[in-house]
Amino acid sequence: MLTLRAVSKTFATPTGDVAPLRSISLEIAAGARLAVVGAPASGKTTLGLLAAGLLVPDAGPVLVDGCDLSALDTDERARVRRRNIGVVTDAPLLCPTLTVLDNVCLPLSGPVPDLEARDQGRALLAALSLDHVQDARPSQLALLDQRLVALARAAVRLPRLIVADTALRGLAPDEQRSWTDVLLRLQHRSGAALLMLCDTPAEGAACDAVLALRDGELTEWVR
Amino acid sequence: MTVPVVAALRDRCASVPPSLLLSALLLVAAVVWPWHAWQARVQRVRMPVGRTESVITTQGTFSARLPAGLKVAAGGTVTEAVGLLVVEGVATRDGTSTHTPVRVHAVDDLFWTFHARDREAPGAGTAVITEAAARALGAQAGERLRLSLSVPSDVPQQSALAAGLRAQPIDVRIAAVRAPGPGDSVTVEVEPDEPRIVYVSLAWMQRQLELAGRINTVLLRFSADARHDDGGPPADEVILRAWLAAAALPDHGVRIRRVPGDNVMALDALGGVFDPALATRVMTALSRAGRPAVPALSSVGVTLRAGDRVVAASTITAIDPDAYLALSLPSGPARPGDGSAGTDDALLRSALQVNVGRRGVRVGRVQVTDLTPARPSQRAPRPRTSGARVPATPAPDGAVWLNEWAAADLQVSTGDQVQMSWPVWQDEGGLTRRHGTFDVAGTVPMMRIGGDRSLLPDLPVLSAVDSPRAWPAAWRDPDAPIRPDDEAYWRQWNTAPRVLLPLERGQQLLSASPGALSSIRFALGDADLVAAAVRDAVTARVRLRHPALDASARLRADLIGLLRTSAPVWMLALLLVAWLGLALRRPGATQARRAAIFSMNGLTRREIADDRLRRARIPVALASVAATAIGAAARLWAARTLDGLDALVLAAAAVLSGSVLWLVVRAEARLAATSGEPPLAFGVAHARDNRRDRHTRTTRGLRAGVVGALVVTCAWAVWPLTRGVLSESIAADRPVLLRVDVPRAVVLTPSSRDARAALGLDEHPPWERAMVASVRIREASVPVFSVPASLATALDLNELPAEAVRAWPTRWRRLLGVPAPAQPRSLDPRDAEALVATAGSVPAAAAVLPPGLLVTETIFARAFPLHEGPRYWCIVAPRADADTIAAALRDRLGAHGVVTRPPQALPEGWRVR
Repeated sequence: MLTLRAVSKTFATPTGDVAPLRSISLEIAAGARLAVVGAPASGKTTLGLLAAGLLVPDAGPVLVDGCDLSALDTDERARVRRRNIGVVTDAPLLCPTLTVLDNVCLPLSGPVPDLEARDQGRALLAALSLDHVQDARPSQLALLDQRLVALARAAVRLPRLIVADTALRGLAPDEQRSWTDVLLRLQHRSGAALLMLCDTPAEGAACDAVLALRDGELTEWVR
Repeated sequence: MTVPVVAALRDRCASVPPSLLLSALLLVAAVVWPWHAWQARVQRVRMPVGRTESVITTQGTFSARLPAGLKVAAGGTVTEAVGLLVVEGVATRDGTSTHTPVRVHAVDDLFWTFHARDREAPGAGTAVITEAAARALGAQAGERLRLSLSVPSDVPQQSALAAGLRAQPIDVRIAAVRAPGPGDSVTVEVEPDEPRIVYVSLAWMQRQLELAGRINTVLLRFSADARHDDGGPPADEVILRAWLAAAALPDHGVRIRRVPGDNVMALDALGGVFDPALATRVMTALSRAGRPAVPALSSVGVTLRAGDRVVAASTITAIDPDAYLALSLPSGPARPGDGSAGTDDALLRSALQVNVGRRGVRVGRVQVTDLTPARPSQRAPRPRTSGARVPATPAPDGAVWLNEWAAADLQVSTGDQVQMSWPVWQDEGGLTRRHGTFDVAGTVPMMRIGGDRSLLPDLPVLSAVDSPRAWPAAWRDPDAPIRPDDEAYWRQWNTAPRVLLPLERGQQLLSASPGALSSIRFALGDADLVAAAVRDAVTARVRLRHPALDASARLRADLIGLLRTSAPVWMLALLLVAWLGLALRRPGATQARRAAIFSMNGLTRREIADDRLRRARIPVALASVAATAIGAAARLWAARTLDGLDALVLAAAAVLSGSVLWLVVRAEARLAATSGEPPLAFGVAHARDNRRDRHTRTTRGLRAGVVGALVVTCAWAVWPLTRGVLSESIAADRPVLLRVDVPRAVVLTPSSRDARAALGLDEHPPWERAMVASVRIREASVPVFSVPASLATALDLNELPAEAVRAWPTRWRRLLGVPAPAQPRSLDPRDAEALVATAGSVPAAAAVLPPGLLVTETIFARAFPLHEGPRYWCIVAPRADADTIAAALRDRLGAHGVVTRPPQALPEGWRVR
């Protein structure tokens, strides 16, 4: 479902070029779960942004459901992302002026959801036991609920790929377990491939495989 | 240390939305530009005044020695005084049709010394002109100009005598052009624009205008002790007292002399007609003292006809025969026609004697009978005498006396009829000839009044010519050629009148204003009494101004006007800033974060931009509505009214402002959508995409371009608007347009032809119209407030476009091609609904209302086209005199029972062109 072939990415910084990814290749099939563990600033987020089509690699294709994101322009990548990719991060990135329901419906029909989108969003929130906060603003929610709402928004369109970028960061262990359970349920519901970017291997314990990102290269995680 | 600060500032500026930048620029412009205009205004108003503190001017002329005498008479109050000739005129560039109004300053070295300037007194036939004049004419040094000047004269502009005083154009060569810098161009008036002045040599101009030794303007500076506490000049009374002490009678426009061959004195008006206030004061003084006085009015250009005989180029005098006889002849009854009437006195008495009770000819207030056979002069042909007889049908226009020469020349005698034509000033400007048939009431011997050549003013163009053929064409009758006999009379008797008639009738026939006099005869011992009366009355003849104070007052008024008129611009700028606080309260980073969130969730750039636009709809609409409301309030505040065109303009402004704001928001939304920074949103602060950097640079360039385009667009839209506002402010400083509420009054002027015809006034001479109108209106219970023809004539109404406009609507009307609104019916004096409940006239208004004041219904109609309520008098008055004039007018109206409300200065946006 997600295929990266010899993908590289370099950033220019005032102190010189930084290459967080060097010829990385990986493939995640539909329904499969991959965790990538790395130290801070090791390139995890860059990998997630590339997988989500929010960044364009310097070299190598990024294929999502067979579609090469690196060959598309900004709007085409946005359409692919909206249709096939769900993204969650450690910052919930909820729109503060929209209600919880509107935030969840954002990928379905934009900031002004139609009735069908609202029904769909309400059903998902109810499934996650968040229907009581559907009219609240994100700032009124606890951190775990904000993460859950962000997760619901990422999964509402039944994406083919879910990218979770250090999404457990800042949560208590029990909150991490709760949030991970929901993630796995939603991933199972949609049959999506899951790319979890983690600070620690424990966060990716539920995944099928765990890789380490060091010096811009992926390696087998060695405990 | 500097680099991080600069970088931080740069980052902050990069996040500033274009609309904020635009608003800030507009706000700065709203403050800076009026300030700049104000500074330019200060330069333009204050600098040309130079060191002049006060100015004394007159409609006639002063002696050139007056300034020196004034310094002496002021006893140290006046430290410097200089005289010059200031003449209005039109300059035409030689060989072209380019011309411009100019003010000619005929000055000498003393003028430049007075102003502490370099001495650049031009020589004979040369001129130094200001740069504004040069620019208007497109002329430069070395070229020639033709000056057509309005010659200063004691002769009233609206009189038969003045019609002949047209100066010949004067050619000058431009010696230099004075730069407009501070102090380079000095003028005696505070002018709203750069002064267009032509400086010429005083002595040379005096020769050209035949005004040797005469000036008409005196500039004054005062000692520090004499100045007012606030640094201004001393009180007007102090200055005028010094002026009165220094001025001789000719400086007051009159002279006193002994009448040759007669036992009386004469007070003559140098200009041919006395100022009404002066004449009234002298007559009152003599009357109160119980002294006899003989008023007279003389004029020129009379043609007499009797059958096929024509006497051309005669002069005429209207006089009260009773008073004249009482003053100049020994007392005692006369026995006209008896054998003892062999002396001159007896002849004169018998010619003019009142003899009531016998059948005779009606002559004004007297009956003349026992007609005296005229005694022929030595040279004049003896007239045909017909003895005492009465015409079967009295002439409709009254009776006249002829002197012996005229009677013999026409071969008429007492009881015959003669036709007479004479020039009078007409309302529409210029002279027209009137015709009438008169009975000959008697013949006057060629002595005293019968041959008095001093009854007419001593004007070179009138009396110093060799023949009446040299008279100005305006005085000559084209149907009456001048014969050798006329020239012979001229050589012997010069301007001695060949026709006499009663004073009251003469004033009716010869003058456009009742009560006009040209000479007052009085007894020998009364000269001091008359001179004192003249001095009491002459302050009305001079005008005292204080240019420096005028400039300060004008600048103060300008500043207030500037603040008021530019207020809408400031409000608009503040509104934009407030709108930013409402609609764009999120800083740029928040906008980018929102765009990043949307982008992360798969929304395209267009969808992100649409979201921004959707959210901006209400603020933009509110901003437009608020701008419209503020604009309407400002307009209402400034103009006191809102009409359909105003609504159209405001609607257009609302659409324009809304569109501009919408474009700004749209540009911002697109920029926000394309410059959303996902890495920042994801917390990857250090990650910078090379391609995105390039993209960011591109968008920043685009943003700068958009901002620039918007600034230019807004400047283009706002500039003419604000320029109009400020130019109104500047233009409005010339006059103040007052309005005095006169409930339900209709103002008639001679220009109101329809009104005049409706009241049947055309068949009456101008002087009668006020009275006749008053009577007819009272009879018809439709009172009308009328303005005497003399006032309207004095104000030269017919020369004015008489158009008051509101500049904003006019400007927009021109742009939009919308015709001006038609005048409402209620402005038509024939409309019964518009007529009034009070009646009266202003017989002495000319004494109250100074020149330059304008009263006309047309102006009212143009200024208040949609007004249907109470009527107003609109007065264009000099700002400094506005209150005085308004108070005088209200008093005058109140004397006639017209209830008025306090005058009100119209806002700056109103202008009379």
